[in-house]
Amino acid sequence: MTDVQLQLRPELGRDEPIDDTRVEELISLTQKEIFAYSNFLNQLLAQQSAIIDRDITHLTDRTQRAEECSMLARQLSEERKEIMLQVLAHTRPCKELATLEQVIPMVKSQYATRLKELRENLIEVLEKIKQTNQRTAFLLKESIRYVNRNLQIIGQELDQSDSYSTDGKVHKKNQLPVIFKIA
Amino acid sequence: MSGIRNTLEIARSALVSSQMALDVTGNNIANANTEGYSRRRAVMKSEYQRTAQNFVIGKGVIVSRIERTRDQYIESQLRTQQQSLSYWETMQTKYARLEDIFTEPSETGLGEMMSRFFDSWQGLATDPQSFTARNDVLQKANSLAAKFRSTTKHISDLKDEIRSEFNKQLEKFNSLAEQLAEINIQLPLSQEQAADLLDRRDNLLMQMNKIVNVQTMENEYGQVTISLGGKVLLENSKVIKVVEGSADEPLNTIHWEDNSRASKASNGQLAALATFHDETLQDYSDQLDELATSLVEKVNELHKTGYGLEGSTNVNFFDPSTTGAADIRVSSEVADNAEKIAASEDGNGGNGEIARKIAQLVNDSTVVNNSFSFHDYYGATIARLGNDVQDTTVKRDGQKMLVNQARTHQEAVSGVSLDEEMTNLIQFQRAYQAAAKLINVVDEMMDTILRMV
Repeated sequence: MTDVQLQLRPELGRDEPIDDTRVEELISLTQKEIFAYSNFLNQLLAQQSAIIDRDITHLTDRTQRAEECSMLARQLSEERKEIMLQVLAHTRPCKELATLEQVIPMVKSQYATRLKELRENLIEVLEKIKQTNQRTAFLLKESIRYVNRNLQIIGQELDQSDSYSTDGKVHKKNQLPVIFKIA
Repeated sequence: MSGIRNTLEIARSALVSSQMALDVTGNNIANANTEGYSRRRAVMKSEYQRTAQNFVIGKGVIVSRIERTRDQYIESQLRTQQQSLSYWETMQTKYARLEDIFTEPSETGLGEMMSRFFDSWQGLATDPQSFTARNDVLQKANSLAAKFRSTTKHISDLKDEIRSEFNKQLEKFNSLAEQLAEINIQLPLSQEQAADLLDRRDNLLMQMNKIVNVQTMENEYGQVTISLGGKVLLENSKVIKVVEGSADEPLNTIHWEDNSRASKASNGQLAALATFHDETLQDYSDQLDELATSLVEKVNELHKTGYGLEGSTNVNFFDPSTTGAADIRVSSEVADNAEKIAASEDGNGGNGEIARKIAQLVNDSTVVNNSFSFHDYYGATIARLGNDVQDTTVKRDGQKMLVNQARTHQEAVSGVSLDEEMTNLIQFQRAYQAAAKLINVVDEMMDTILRMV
């Protein structure tokens, strides 16, 4: 991931002070965002456990909660983005490209230290979410394969022999469709 | 690097566990119709490890055990019902054999032969000097006596057959006990095959319960301790075998090889065989004996007062040393010379009064136990046999229903239902489908959010 360079708007000037209230708001919101993503991570881990334990009820429940948590976390991320844009408005950034890394050098040192900490925590939890998601994707893929295989056994869909039509042509049996494919 | 290794380990363990779970399901489906098979379930468990910093992190999944689905209470009920079913099935089979021995009603049955015997005396009464009539009486008497003897012999043969069957069941019982001892030895050592061993164990216990009513206790390894009538015959690997009893004691006396006090069977095949041998067959034998000795006594009583054609008197018609139906026969005096048949009351050759009185014995209702005629007594015996056959058939059929009911309950718990497996699988599929959608959403979300940090 590379940061996007700030695009300055000359008419505003670089030395205008940044509103401390806004920075404090950003810090508070980032804390809430980290908390929300941590909750989201917990739900994903619980979802993973449910897949391992083959507990459908728990899995369905956790999936739903994970969706709710992800929506909340995303919403908080969007709000953080808005605040960052407001914080960086004094330094005239391009509206779509605002990151914490850009904000940190612009604020007072005590805020910068705190924001740096929060940023590291946020990156860590997001990385964990990404890894957990990848593992869950693998487990789900295997589980779907296992379920489909069992359904094939029960449905006795194992006969792959060819058949002849009345005109003598051989019809090759198509691979029986898997009932569900994971992307 | 440790993160990648951990991910791979989780992936590997998930793969191995899925394979094992697939094997379990395949095994269930393949054994759906195997008698005594109980459905298996792979129980998954998350694995964890502690890091150097004392954090607990996930290591994937393992199959902690393969569980067999069995309800002990239902098993116990089924065994008890099976004992009773085996009892009544055996009784019904033996009663049916006894019915075949008596062959009533028929032209060759004892009842018909008694009728012909008394009819022949009526024939002699009308023509006492006729040698044809005298030979007819002799022939009918011999046939009747032979029928008594053969019926008793068949009952005695059936008794011997039952004793032999009883002893064979004892051998089978010993063999089952030895096989159970083998399983007791293997169970604590083979946790991987425990489910198969326990299925075999339950199968052997069911066979044992068909033979006799044993009591079973199980420890935490699934090893069984078995007792019969308070005597422990199997504990861990130690078996105390049953041995055959002697022929002159009741059949229901089960001896042990260590000479401890004998036990009795109260249910199952052994109990039925013993009851039928010691009580039922003895009852019917006794009744036949009663009938035979009454016949000999009453006929001889009259015959001795009469006169033969050559003037002989005080002659027994039947051998007076008869003890019962097993040895009834025409006396040697009469058998060797038909003229000695005492038809006359006063010594005149044309008088057939004694023959008439003997013929009339058939209508006398005090000849057996001072309460019955010959036919009434025999008729009651046959009627009782018919009732007993019907009674045991009804009980057998009723018990079969109870066993089927218990078995249905057992199947509901332990049986493999392909429909249920399919339903479960489709439910899993739906749940996974929903979870997979979330995967894609999260994947996109992470890409976006990480750019904003």
